[in-house]
Amino acid sequence: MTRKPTLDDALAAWGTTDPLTAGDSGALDRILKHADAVAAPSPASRLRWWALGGAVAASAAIALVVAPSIGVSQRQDAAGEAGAQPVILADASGSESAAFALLYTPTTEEEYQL
Amino acid sequence: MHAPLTPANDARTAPDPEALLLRRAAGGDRRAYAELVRLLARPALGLAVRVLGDRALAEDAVQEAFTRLWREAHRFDPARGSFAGWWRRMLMNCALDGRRRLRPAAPIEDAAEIPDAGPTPARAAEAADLAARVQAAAAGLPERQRAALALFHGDGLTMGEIAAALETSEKAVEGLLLRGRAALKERLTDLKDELE
Repeated sequence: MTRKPTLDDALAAWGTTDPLTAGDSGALDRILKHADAVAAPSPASRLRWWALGGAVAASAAIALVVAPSIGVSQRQDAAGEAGAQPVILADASGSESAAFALLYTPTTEEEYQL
Repeated sequence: MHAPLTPANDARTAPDPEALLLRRAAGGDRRAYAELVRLLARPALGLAVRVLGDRALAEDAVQEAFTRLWREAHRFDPARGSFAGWWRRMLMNCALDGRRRLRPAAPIEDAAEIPDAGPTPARAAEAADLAARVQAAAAGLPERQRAALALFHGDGLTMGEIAAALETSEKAVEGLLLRGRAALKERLTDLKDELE
């Protein structure tokens, strides 16, 4: 007749019995493969470097294409400054201005009365 | 039967081959990392199955823990503690991750699949049967209680080591163990008459 198990016996049996079975070898294999993949230099990181290099090259190419046009426009601006048009001031002797002055400027008689 | 991560493996008492492998892995040595994974995979999966009560979740947690082990190898400082304690904390963090906790644990009916005693002597078969019943009953416990029970009864850790693994206090571990044991006793209804 065997002794009745206690809760400690049950917990000891649970704690010391290997919960893994033969069926878990697949899981262990997958874990090892996953770890190998984690440590392997990732193609994504290489791709990232290629993408970065491509972006730099593209930026340089765009800069080269755009740079001459910037030079041309700067030259055009410089030419513009050399042959600058004279500044045209507003005509102060216009009829509208005169009419405004007549309306609101008091005559000597009006001034006298004031 | 796996070799538990006991204090005998502690880096403070003897040169720890796992810590040496980790140091090499931190320097980018993939072969050292692969060797380390081969050493740790089986006990880690066993502990994760006990804690999570679900094989798929346990596999997922162990994979995540190994990913972190590779990425954070350089952060291990032997002056601050043993490799075993550091790794256990990492594994428990992954196993008790909140996102994983949202998924349901294995139902009690699945417990019949857990340990397969096979053609072993009667006592081993009895122990395997008892272990299966405890695993089934433990499936209904909160994960932290299961983790404390597994680390205490499975790996034979001290309160301090369990507290470090679960990032809590020794007092809290005592509470987890007491509540876990009480809940298990309640849940092991079919064994109640067998238990003294």
